[in-house]
Amino acid sequence: MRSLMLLKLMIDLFFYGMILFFLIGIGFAMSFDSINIGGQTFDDLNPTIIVYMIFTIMRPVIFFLAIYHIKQLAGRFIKGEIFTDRTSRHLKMIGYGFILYSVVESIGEYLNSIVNSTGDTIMSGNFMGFNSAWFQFTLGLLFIFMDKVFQNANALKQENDLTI
Amino acid sequence: MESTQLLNVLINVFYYIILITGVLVIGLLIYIGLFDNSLGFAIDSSMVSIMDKEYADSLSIKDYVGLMISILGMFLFIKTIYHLRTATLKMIHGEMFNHVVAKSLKLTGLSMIGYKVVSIIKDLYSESIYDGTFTVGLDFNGFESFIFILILGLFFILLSKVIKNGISMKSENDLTI
Repeated sequence: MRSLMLLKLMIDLFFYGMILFFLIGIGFAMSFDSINIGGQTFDDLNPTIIVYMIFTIMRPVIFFLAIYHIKQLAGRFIKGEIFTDRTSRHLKMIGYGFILYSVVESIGEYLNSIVNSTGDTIMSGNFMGFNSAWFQFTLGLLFIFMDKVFQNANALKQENDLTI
Repeated sequence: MESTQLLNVLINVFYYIILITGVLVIGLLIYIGLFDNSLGFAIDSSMVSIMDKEYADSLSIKDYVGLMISILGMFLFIKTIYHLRTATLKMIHGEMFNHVVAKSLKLTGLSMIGYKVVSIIKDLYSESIYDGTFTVGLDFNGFESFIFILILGLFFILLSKVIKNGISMKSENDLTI
């Protein structure tokens, strides 16, 4: 129970911290006369920069949604709701969030290499560390699979309750 | 079903790639550090590079400490993926509520937290030793964030408890039948 409370506290801290940092980032970016993305300044808009901007904004939004579902799930666990339809739906949403995040991040990195001519390529073979797109995609699939495990447990629970 | 098969393939490929890479890199670093005098290391704030001895400074104790921290980090990452793979494969093969799955999920969470702690120590060590700087702060940048990895690690530990709950429910069900 203590680890559960610690987890909930950390998720809340992370969730509200993310909102705060995102709003500060947007405000900071808008205070410049020219376009500013992640500290880089662009003088004119062209289609590549517009797409790059969209992907740069999409990344934290998707991550934020995944964190929102983790927060909801931890809240349900604290209430004692473990094997329910709602918890399995949250798991599925976390999984889709991580998969989408890995795809958006990979495309964003590729666009960054075009915009800034860094020469990096998509999925550039970075396997070590949690920042690897491969790890994030696999983790997303695992969460979607966990949704099935929870559905299975939900059926078992209902069967158990019926027997009693 | 297709997503399960894809997960099976991805986790296996990922595991073997990082295992081979990890073993090669760790082996090479140990070999060069102990036996090969023609090559040297260059350790900066982000990584360890292997280069020709004439371009690398001679190794001192602080370089060896940095090297050991890097190797420990790599080992913990491989361990994380190993336990994650063990739990995933068991679940894919239909053994969802099993003590091995619960134990593997718990070890995944612990290794994940361990890896992140080691990588933070590595960054702080490299920054203070090689760049002369020392930065501490909260970071909310996706999967790179320490708090997020801590959350993910604790979440896996929690999942292991949920699986244990499922084990007792399943055994109760089997007894009733």
